[in-house]
Amino acid sequence: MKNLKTLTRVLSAAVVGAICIGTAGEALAAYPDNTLRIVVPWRAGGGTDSVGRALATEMEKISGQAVLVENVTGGSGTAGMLAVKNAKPDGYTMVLNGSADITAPIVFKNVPYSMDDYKCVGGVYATPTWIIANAEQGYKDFGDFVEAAKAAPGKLSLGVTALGTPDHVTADLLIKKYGIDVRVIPFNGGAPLKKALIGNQVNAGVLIAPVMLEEVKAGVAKVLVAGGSLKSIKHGPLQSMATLKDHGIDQEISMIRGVYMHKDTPDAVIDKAIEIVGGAAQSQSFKDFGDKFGFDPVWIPGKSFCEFMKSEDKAYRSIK
Amino acid sequence: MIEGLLDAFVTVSAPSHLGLILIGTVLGLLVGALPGLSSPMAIIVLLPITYTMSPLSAFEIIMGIYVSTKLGGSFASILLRTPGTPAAACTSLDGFPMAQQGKASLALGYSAMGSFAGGMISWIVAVSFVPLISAVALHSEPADIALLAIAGLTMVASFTRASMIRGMMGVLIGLMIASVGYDVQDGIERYSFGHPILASGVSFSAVLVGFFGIAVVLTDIDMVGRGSNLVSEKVGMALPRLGDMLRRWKAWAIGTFYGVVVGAIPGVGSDGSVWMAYATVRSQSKNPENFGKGEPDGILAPESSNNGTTGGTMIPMLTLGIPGDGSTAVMLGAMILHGLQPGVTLMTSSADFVYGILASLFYANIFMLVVALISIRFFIAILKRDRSSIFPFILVFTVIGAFAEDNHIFPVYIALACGIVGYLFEARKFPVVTIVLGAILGPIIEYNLRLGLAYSAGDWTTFVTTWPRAIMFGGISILVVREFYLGFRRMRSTSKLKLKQGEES
Repeated sequence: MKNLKTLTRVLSAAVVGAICIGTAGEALAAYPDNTLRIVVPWRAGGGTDSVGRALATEMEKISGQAVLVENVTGGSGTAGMLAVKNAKPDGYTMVLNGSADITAPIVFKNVPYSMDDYKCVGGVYATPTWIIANAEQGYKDFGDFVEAAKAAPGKLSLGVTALGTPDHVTADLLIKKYGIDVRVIPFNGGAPLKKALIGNQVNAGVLIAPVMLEEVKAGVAKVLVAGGSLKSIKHGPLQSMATLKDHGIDQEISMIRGVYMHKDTPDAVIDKAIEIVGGAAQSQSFKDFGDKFGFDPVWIPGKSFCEFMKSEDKAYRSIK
Repeated sequence: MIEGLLDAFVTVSAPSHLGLILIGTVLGLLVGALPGLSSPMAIIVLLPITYTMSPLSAFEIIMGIYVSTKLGGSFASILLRTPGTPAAACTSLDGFPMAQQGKASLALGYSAMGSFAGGMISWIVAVSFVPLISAVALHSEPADIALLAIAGLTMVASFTRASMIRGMMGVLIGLMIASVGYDVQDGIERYSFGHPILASGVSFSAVLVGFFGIAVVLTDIDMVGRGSNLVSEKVGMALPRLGDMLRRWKAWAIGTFYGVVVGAIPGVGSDGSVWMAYATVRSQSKNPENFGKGEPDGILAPESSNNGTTGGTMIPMLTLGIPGDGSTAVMLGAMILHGLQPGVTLMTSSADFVYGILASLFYANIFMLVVALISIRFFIAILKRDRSSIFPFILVFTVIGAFAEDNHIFPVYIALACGIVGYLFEARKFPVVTIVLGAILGPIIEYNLRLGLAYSAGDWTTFVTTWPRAIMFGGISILVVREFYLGFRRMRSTSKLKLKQGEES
């Protein structure tokens, strides 16, 4: 009797195991053989969303599967990140998000996930922060702003799109570096800050490039300093813009938009996904999309992308 | 400028272009009429289909949708008391009573005419005064916007049905709902109970479909089993006459004025402007007691104001790349996807496109009126149907609406909760509309008030230092004092009445 029980147990375990191996094997061999889903944690029509849609078109060509962009919004990006954390780790659900949109909430807010819940597939777009002032302010570079701030302590205003964002970090690093007393004003997103800058209502503002590139081209606004290199921006005169490094701050503040998957996704699936996303990111038509977007795309595959995320996390903790 | 616009009219007048505008208009009317579906949502869904089109063709459809969703929203307000869009909530105040009196088609007709008047006048104003409007958009500061929204809230508090106390309570509940989540200035979590989804606030569209969609279905549940027998064939198809429209010029003129001004100021939107228009027209009226009982002016004012924002929002969007409301924010994204660079250079780099949009907006207004007047017959047919075949659809669409905003299930629970609370309040004759109003204007006031103070480094005098602000501040003060005065007088007369009754008994 006892033997029989053991036998059934062993048998059922074997069957379950076989099924598991069978399905896993199938998944590996055929991945992707079903519709892929890219979760974008922001509303349609925004920057991350437009990158996602351009990327999805190319991924469809490479994978031969339909690629859906799904905007799971709410909780300032939390809902979308959770949607992938709670999804099956089969590689069919991935999330496209900005690096700082993931690390900043982990550092500054109480979010129910950490970087350990995800695996990096790769970064496709790197856009640094930049500090912009209305041309009427008359600043030539950030040094002028520092001088003006020292001449009138507590008077100058520096807008940021929101608290705990890459642009807030950029402002904080520079203010600490020069020991200046300026008022940091949080706006509710990029559009109202853009309006305040064009209307010359704040002395300067920090945004993520290429927001306001058109105003810079038209001479209405001026870039004072960038959070990282502007080499790949589609506007010659800005490509050699001074960065934080030129101001003696050894940190790059960029928003790298990239793709992540569930932490339990099998390595073989991740490798295949890196192939698909990487191929899409390096394709000609994705480069053409870059012309519209104002920046050349990049391709930072899995491991190195995750390393960047770690350094960013460290930078944010240093100012917490 | 005129030359460019005329060229654009020649281009857009081709049948293929007009066809696209017409498609957009028909779609917009339907999307607007369905509670829970909104104009930004419709534009987003259509975007992938427009990828292969030229940017102008894509925007011809988008303009059609943008203009006629505004009108479509009022159709559901009038027929079912369930506004299809947030701004249409105001139209139900007089639209639904009018429909109950058997004059549904007349109400729909007034709504269509009001929308058309608002849309057309605002188009003319927008095109004639481009530099002026973009200057208003650019130089309006947070302090101005805060005062404008406070003025709106004060004006509305004066016409809430039942008592002012209930109205104020409703507004406060709305403000409480709106204050859930991270506060922008200090980054402090409010009323989120540690729940990460609540940290970014309560989804506004969920609150709206809850209070207006689900609560209305629950309240009107006794109508199941019968259609509206109030619509008789005879009065069924009466449309407003032009003479009536002209006689009521004040209502739509005031409505349009608010629409254009509020539309030009980014960050307020038509959800707020309709209420200000309604309150002003009501206080200007010779018989304010008719409002809320089916007064056509009460339909004309909000509808003209709602569509009056379309011209106002276009100018900052096209000349500065600044969105005035949710729809224009999505449109700016659509421009980028179509390879255009919205911003101060758009007018010079893609002048044909800019003028094409303005020409499409003009046609969209005309098509909206024509399509609406033709389709009133079909909408009336819906009203005649048994409610048991309408209510399930409303519930389905409210749930879809709550879900689709974020593609997330949590807002659906919020909508259900708001629906039940709304039903309980409604059953006790509590003006639910004031809750929604607090939720609409609350965040606008808080954000801009605090931003205004951040601009001035905490100096409160910033709210009276310019002439427009001083005037608005004075206006608000007069409104509040007058309200208190009237309140005290009413209290005294009722207490006298009670005394008298006491003596008699």
